[in-house]
Amino acid sequence: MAEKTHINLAVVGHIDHGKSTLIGRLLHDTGAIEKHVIEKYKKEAEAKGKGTFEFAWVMDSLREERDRGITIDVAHRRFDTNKYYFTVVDCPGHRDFVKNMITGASQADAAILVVDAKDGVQAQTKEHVFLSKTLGINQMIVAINKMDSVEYSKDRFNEVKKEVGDLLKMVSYKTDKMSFIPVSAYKGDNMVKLSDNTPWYKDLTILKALDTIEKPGMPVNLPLRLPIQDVYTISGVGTVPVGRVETGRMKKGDKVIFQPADIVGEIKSIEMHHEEMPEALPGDNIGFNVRGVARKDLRRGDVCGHLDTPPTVAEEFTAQIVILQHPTAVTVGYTPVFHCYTTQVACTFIELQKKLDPKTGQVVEENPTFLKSGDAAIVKIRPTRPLVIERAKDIPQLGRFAVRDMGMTIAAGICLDVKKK
Amino acid sequence: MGEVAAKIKIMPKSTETDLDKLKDAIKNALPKNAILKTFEEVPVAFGLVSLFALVFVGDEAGGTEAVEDAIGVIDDVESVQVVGLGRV
Ligand SMILES: Nc1nc2c(ncn2[C@@H]2O[C@H](COP(=O)(O)OP(=O)(O)O)[C@@H](O)[C@H]2O)c(=O)[nH]1
Repeated sequence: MAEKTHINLAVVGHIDHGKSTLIGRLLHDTGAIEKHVIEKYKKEAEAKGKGTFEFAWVMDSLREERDRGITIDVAHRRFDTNKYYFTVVDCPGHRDFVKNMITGASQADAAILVVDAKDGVQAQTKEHVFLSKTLGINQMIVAINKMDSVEYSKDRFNEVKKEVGDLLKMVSYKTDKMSFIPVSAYKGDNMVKLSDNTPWYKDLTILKALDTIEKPGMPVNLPLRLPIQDVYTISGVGTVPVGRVETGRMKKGDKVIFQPADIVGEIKSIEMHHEEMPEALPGDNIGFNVRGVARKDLRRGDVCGHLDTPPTVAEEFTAQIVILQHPTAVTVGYTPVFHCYTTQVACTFIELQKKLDPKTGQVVEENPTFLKSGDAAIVKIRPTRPLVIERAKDIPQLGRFAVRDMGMTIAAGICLDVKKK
Repeated sequence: MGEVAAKIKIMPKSTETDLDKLKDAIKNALPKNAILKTFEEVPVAFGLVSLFALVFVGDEAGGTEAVEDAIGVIDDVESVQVVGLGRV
């Protein structure tokens, strides 16, 4: 039998809304945890007179399991549906990880957003929704969890569904195409089969919804963009930039340009895992040898593209941002460091154009004088030195950024438009 | 609080860098609250070999910053990048 298609799944949501429990439940109910492990814990539970509810023990075993068989992968939990096999990442809660998720961490194909039916939308629910959009995760399943704690109330489900729906619409998720599922991760309702506790709900279970995910295609048809991580001079070879192809394809013999360095060269050879390859595709971590370019001409953060579709150098750009945390307020003139792909550039807020209502996405204020934690806004930014950034609509991988200052992640955003240099 | 596993990609200064020595230097440099779990060497190109480290940190303020800084200042290190994150 052919290997199933692999999907990278992120589980996001506010702390304590039940993300790990939901993952545990999925692993348990899909048979991803070996029978003998479950048996062992069941016996222990019985021996200790702790009742026979094996699921609580499964959760414990998962925590223990992490210390055995540690692999280099952070997404080491796997489960299967009819169509796919999934590896799951349980997203960190703290905002200070946002920078890494935007600049380096590998991309999820889809996400499950977990929202506590009792609490509804909370601070991290908003942050994670915005972050998912910023990261270009377009497929999302909403699990309205802990339905057992609200007596499986249809009315409460609909209230929370509307609240989450409004939030998602604000960042232009197409909510009519999304599944909102009432679940109890703890008890197992509507996870793999429809529950008698919610006779009013006849739609997809979590498992079925997971099978409706489409594997996103590789962004090979976009222009080539390879942000440089490091540049080496290797004896007998020459100048070797290394980095990951974000979009497009790079072939031997291609005429390329590096921006903002504004240096032109020709690809002499490409290697990955020490093997020569004729062509590199998105996701490939490669080193390549370029003719006509010296090591000193290039630096981390220069972006390699083809001569006819060169990377865009911004004089200014317009962005949609969300302020994650700021001790006081963001005003015009503020110049924190923007982290995009492999580069870091100080950039100045030169206009605060619109403040948006994080619940509805409507403009609540034109030209606000300041922005504070929790605000979403459209702003104009001027980099203090040349910076390549693309419209997120055109090349999402090069259109997102995290804003850092004072050792904190202040904001995350996407580029809406660029005024070219 | 919870813990976060961070997969960190470390590029050495050159093809000549002694990766075993580099691993030791990383072990010694890590801040106290970070736990090193494992290393993996992955060849890149033209003799260059990258080093991946799996490090556990708290799901709290600062994120992986202190770890990145500590590794970044080691002489044999060209660059540090967090390439994967997940709660454990
Ligand atoms: N009543 C109820 N409690 C739940 C449910 N799912 C999770 N919990 C509880 O909520 C708390 C937080 O769950 P956890 O999975 O650790 O949340 P996380 O921080 O989002 O990963 C724990 O005490 C869970 O037992 C549920 O469906 N119903």
